[in-house]
Amino acid sequence: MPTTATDDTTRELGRRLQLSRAGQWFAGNQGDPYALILRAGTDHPAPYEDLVRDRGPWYRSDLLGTWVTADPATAAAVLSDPRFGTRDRAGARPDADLLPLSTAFPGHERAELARLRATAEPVLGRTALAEGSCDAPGAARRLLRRHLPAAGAGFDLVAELARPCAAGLVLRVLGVPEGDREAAAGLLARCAPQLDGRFTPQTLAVARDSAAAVEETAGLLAELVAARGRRPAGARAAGDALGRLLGDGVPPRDVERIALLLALGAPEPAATAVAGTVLRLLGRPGAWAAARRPATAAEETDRTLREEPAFRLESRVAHEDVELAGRRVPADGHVVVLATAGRDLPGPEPLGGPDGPHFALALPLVRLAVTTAVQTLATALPGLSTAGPALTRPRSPVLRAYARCPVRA
Amino acid sequence: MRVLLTSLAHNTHFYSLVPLAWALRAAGHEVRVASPPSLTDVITSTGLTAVPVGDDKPAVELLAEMGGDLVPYQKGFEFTEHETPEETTWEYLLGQQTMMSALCFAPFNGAATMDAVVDFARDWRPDLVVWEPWTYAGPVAARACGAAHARILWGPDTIGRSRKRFLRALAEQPAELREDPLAEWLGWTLERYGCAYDERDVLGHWVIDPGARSTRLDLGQTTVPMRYVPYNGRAVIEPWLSEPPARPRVCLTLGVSARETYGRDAVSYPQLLEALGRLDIEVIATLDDSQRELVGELPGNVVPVDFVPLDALLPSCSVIIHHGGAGTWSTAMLHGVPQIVVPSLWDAPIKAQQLQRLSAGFSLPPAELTAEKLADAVLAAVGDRAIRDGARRLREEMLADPAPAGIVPTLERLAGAHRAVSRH
Repeated sequence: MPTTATDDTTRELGRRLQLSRAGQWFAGNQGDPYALILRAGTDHPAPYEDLVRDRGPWYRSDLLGTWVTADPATAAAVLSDPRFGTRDRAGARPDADLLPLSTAFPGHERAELARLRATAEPVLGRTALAEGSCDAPGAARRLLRRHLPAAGAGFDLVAELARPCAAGLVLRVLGVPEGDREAAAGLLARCAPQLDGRFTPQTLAVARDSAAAVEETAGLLAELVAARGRRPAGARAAGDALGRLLGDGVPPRDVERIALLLALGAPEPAATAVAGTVLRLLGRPGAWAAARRPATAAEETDRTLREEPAFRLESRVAHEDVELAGRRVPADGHVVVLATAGRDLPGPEPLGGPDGPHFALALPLVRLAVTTAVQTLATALPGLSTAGPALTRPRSPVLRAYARCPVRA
Repeated sequence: MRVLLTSLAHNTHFYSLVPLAWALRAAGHEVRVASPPSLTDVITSTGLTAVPVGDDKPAVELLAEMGGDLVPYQKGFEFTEHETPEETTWEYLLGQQTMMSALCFAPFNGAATMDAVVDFARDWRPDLVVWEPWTYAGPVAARACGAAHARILWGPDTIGRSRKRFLRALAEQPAELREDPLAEWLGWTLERYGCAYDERDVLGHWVIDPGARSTRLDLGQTTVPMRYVPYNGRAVIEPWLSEPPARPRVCLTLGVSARETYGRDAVSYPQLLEALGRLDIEVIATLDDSQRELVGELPGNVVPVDFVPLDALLPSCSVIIHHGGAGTWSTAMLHGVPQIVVPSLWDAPIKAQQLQRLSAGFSLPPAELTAEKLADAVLAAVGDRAIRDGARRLREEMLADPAPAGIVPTLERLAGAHRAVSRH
């Protein structure tokens, strides 16, 4: 006998999730390529992304009420245009009623995101991290070495190595006490489906668990920031991001927001990109050995993040009527950018610059985590090989997170 | 025994329960019919006792959102005799369960209805719940009060077949990719009432099947065959029904649910009538006022009727043309009438294909329908002895099964064996 009875709220949540899921399935059956992307089985979405792109600058999904673009110029224009924001004029996330998320999930407007990114830049920016901010490179290497398997052992590259290392790194950077990190790493992993849940409804159990995990994470980070704030000013500037930001006089509320964006936005994307890079290199003769060179590891990481973006879908809302690329998107119109559009744009972070993804603040740490992991693993595990097909987690159109990634050391 | 019958608030779904309800009542059992209040008058008009439960708001809202037209929603529900390779894929089968659960079952068994039927069942404490296949409030209520529950079919068990195929595909999936939307929905629903999900709640402790033997799908379920007894509402025999027709009589009907609910005919009526007008037959066409207006002038051999009890009309017919609705299909089989089916919704395609395979009729899918094809099919059905024999064999199969009254002792025994607690 189950111990808890389903209450009204849970039942209503389950119904909405299933109805949204069925709506996407139905739209996919009618041939809507955007719906087929959101349906997100284990197959790669490239064919559907191509179908969207073939329609020109815009694809209008009538059934799902969304303007979708996979066109590089249009995608870049949407992301850099201040008339496209995060929430509609009533302050709601698009599809908030169809795709319920934790209320603690970050939904900042673009100006706020830009401000937080700029605030975090001296500590969590690409240059700062590369120069040893928060001891991130050293911490990443130590974590990886601790998780290395014995030679010849079969293991899951994501579940047993990339995911715990990425979470451990984020927690170290945030300054979570070492004794709390293992439990907190489990918490961060449970948050990941909320990133996909903005586009594709999760199962009721996953939706509830991931929402609860986001609430817990937000609470944990708020406590951490508060505890840091109570320390004497001189003791704050420890080797972690929260201490440094507070030490620089950043208000605690902003530090909490930065911490949450990092805690949600870095771990699973990093773990996914590690596996994506490793699997691609293992498929090319000589490539794995070459990745021992830090410069090669960095290049290969950049390539992964270009070709398989950490956040494949970006959601925006028109704050006013916008004429763009031959279409008029009305105020409150929902626009989705397929981030793979960035492949055809120059630079290592084509859509990942200051006007990039909602979680752009986390990308420098993602990049560092992946580069370090690829370089360290290529050096320590020269005989690494795949040990069966890797599987993508269902309902993961944003992250394309791994459900399984068997390899042998 | 106390027997609770459950049906969603649609008369054609409910009608499939009525003859068995009478049989149980006549055998001395207490019988109640639980359905949302919008069906109460229909239930009481059959002489049965209604228990209004909850509402049909979720279904009404969903139908409004769909624009009242269900035909586009058929994609993904291809219930046919021979599955295509695409229809055996995990993706397809998962999609079917996803859409059935959220778009069919959940809206017709909304929160208010579930709560109310469970409350009633816990209070009244039936020994047996008999439910039509979309009305999952039935098995949920049965579980909540410890009753046995049986599903009564109104066509080939396509829901059961989909479920079995899905479960096979599910077992072959890697554990990380498994999901089961129907079990998820029934799971959280049952948990509300302190019960754990049981796969038997999807298809019933046993199945009551009123189909002709050759049309049953062999799914390995405990099945109680029952002779189909027609019931489709109040009926009055008009004098003309007693006069034998001068020419072969053809019944043309779109079926009650297509006329009343779906608001759109999958076939062009004038096209059909024109073709039939050229043949040496008499056509009895069921047309309501709005349809008559749309059709315009009728050919001389077409007699329009607004409503006619098929059970009374079909014995005088040589062939019937219809959409494949449940009551029409069954009544025609019972009277041994060859059928030309222009299949539209849900399980109509498989029924049409079965009839063709069994030489008891023809399947003319809407996409392939032409006036000539229809005329040819009518002539073949009227003139071909093999088709008449095929239809007669289905009638004989149906007559060989026990009538509803005949299965009551079996239901008593099965209810005793399956109910969780003995109370009465």
